[in-house]
Amino acid sequence: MKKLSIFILILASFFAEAESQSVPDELLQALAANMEKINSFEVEARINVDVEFIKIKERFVKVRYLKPDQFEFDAEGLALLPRNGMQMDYLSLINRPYTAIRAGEEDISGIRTVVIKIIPDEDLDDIIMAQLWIDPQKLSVMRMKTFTKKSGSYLIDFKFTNHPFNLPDQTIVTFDISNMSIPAKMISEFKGTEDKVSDEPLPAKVIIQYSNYKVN
Amino acid sequence: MKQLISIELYKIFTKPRTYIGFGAIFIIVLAIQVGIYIKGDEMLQMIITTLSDRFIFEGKLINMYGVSYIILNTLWIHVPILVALVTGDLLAGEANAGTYRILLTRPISRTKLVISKFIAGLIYSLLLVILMIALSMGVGWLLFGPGDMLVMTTKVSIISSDDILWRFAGAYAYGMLCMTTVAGLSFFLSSFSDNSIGPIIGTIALIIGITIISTVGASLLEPVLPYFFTTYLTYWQEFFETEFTFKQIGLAVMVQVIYITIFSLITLFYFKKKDILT
Repeated sequence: MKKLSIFILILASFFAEAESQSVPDELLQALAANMEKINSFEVEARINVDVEFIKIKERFVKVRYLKPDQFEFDAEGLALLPRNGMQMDYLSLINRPYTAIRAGEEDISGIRTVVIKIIPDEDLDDIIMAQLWIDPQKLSVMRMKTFTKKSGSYLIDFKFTNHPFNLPDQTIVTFDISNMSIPAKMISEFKGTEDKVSDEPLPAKVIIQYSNYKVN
Repeated sequence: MKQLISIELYKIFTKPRTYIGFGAIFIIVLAIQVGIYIKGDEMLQMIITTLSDRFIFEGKLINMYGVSYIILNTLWIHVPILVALVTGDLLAGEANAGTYRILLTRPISRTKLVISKFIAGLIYSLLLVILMIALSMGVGWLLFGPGDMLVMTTKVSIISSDDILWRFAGAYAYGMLCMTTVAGLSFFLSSFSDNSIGPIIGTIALIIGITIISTVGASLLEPVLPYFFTTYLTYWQEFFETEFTFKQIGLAVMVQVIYITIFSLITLFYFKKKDILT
């Protein structure tokens, strides 16, 4: 009897493990399949940079996407774009070999999301790991946190209305710039002769508003 | 008066040294522009390298406005020297050449002579700045074209191309005012000297000396720094602040005007009483 109980327990844990592995993969595959329907799109983006020491007015950029994960930007004048966050970075992750781990569930704006951590199996340009908050009903990424080699982590919040292809209407990219070193002349106003912008965490926020999607 | 000014201008423009200033500006501006045209991308990458860890710059970073801004930064050190080269010679040159006596036997007042010489010197100084503007903007437009401007001072500002021209107009106008102060200083020194080397070197030494002392001993000289006109020579940069207000530049303009007035009045007063011995 005791042996049977142990066998059942082992079997149950094996299935539980298998299920927890399959859920993130299924979700990510469904997400990829959703994007697979889009060959390319073009959208107008309004970009507002909210950084203490950067003064720039709202800029307009034309964003072009080409399947599977190619992005092109065409700015009106000179625009400042966040290094991560505008290229739907999760696409470059899920279109290559990866390991996904389910990391629980969380509520974002009243929507129950599944949290999935993705670790790329091959060496990507900069991203070491990403965490996705996915709405399983609409198959859309509500939030994403990317951890990069060179520039720390980026938190990207996506906002959606009712676009047929579940493309975002707004993206808010938040990242820390306290470790950023700046040219000598720029330092004086912040911290004497130190080569960091700030010792305290200094958030930078870039708000991108999308409009006029042309999807092919 | 008009005739006096044209005579003084004739004198200025028949001296070879006058063309050193124009030649220097021509060569320096073109050298900077060609240099940036060839190696500008590398240079700019070095400047924005820290920013590009977090941001992507999308658009044309090198354009006529950015290059003109770099030229302004570079040349405001040299232009005062070129101004002093001519304005320091205006009165002392007459003494040196022994033409004071002949000149002052003519039926013109000393006041008119001093004013006409100063105005002629000013015209030369303004022409130097105008040449700088014409080359910076003209050749800059041909080589680089217009675009939004990236300014990195105590912060990073990106100024839209439709918001730039008035800033350059203001910066150049303020620059002209500063050059008037420099011309006033060298003219003032020139009235005391019988040799033009003294006022020319004196002006350069004063400007460079005060600037170095103000920079090195900033904490020591802090209480008196607001009273030096050299403190405000770089205030043209204020025009490129995104939240610029004319109030910011008001004090700087006032200081320059006060110095110009003081230099002119002392020169006038001294020259009227001056005993001409050469």
